[in-house]
Amino acid sequence: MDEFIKVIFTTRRKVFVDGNPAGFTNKMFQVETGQHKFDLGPEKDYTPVEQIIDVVGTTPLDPMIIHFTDEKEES
Amino acid sequence: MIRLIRSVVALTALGMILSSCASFPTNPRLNQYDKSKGYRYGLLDKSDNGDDLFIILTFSGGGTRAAALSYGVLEKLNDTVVKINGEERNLLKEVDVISSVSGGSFTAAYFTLKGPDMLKADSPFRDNFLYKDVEGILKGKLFNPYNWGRLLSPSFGRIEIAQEVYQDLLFGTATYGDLGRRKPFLMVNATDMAKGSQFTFIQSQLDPMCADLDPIPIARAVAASSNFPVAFTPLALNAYPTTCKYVEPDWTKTALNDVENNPRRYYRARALRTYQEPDRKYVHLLDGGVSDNIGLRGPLTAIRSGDVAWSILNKINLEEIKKLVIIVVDAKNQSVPDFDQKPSAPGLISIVNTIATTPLDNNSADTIELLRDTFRRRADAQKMQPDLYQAELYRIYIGFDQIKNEQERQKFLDMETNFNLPRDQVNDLRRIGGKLLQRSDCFKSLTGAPMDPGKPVCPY
Repeated sequence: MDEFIKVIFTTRRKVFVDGNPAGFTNKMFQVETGQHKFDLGPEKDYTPVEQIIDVVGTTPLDPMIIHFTDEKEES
Repeated sequence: MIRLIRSVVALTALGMILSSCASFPTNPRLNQYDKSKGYRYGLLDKSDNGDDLFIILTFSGGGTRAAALSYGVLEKLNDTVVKINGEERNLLKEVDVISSVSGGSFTAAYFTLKGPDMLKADSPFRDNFLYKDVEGILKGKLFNPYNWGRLLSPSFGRIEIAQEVYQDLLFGTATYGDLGRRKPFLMVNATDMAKGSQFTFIQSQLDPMCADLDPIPIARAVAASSNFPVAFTPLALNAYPTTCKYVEPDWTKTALNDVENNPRRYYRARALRTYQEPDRKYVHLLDGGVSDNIGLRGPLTAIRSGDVAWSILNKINLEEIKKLVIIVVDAKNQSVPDFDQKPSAPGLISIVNTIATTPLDNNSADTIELLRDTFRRRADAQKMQPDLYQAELYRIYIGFDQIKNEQERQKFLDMETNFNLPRDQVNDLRRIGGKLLQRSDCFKSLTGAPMDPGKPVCPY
């Protein structure tokens, strides 16, 4: 099944899903149902470094929201 | 007569001597797993044919019937011009991927190797394959006493003879390394006997086996893809698991944790693992039609999943594909059997034929529906949510059931599955392939041709 994701970050970056570039931050995109590893493209100035999440039961109107925090903002 | 007998005996004796050394051709080991080398979509040259208009063709099985129908579709694409970014482009030159099975693999592989020259009147593909009694040549080779001895070897089968015939007629010694880096990306599909799943001749499939695709002859892949069970022997590939520092893709780890939410993905990961088992020294292959007779499963997974190396889903998410076009060319036949007109039980051939073809046809119908459903859900999601990237989706199905005239339709559905069709049937197939494509509403919408009033554009 199809799932819908929105990854929130301060700037536009590529989002990597299971190691492959699969979308952009702050823009909704589609993934396959199931467990996935999410991280962002370089540079590695964000936390957490990666997130492993079960993506199930989303819809285009109710996507899963995933947050990454900019280390500079945090400090 | 005596001279003939002596010749047969001499040839048989020579063959028996040769049988001691007859074996299938060994495919070499991959020295080092390296994603920056080998036959992979991501390494193809995109300077002349980018991804913004992404065209996938799938060619079904069905012997010469399938090869000729798909050839007719290529001819029509070659005659069609579309405007891309204000520039007129030949649609055939925009094809990005061809996924094929069995009879369709001859057309797919020859086109990828030779390009549009294949469509010229003097192309060897016409005289050496489409209009040739290839079946007669195959039988002639099998009845040649020279080959009887070779066939006594347990590691040399009828499929090796078929490969030699396809090399002589069409492909020569061309290998995957000779395909270079130009599009389309060729996906010739066979069936892995041990797993019962699709086996595609692309480097990412051979990586976990630590086998190198580049030196493998194109004719061998096509022979595997059209390896009709029983008629031919299974085709073996050498595997060298654990010898090339292969690194499993990340998605397998998450997929293997998650049988509950996505069993299909879990089984894909399990299947990938089986090629890494140290004892799996050979992979035996049957006709691609056994697992997917329309060649659509691979592209469908790429449309639905980000796990595939050439994932279309990821290309859409990354806004690289503006228009996604998939043209399914299905040469499925359906002759009306006469056994329901008699009280006697159908014969063995009828029973075997039913057992062999019915599951394939049902599987193909399900796969086509899955594609329709996938496109419809994506289109609905795009309508519902403007924040989602808005890709244009074109799904075009070419099959004999779309022929409106009943008599003409039945004529095509009655055509046999073999490698020896009469010339007029081959011509009819070429013609109807182009005609059905041109008549498709979705194709009209893509090319800007006038539409029939009141008809929906690209219905899902």
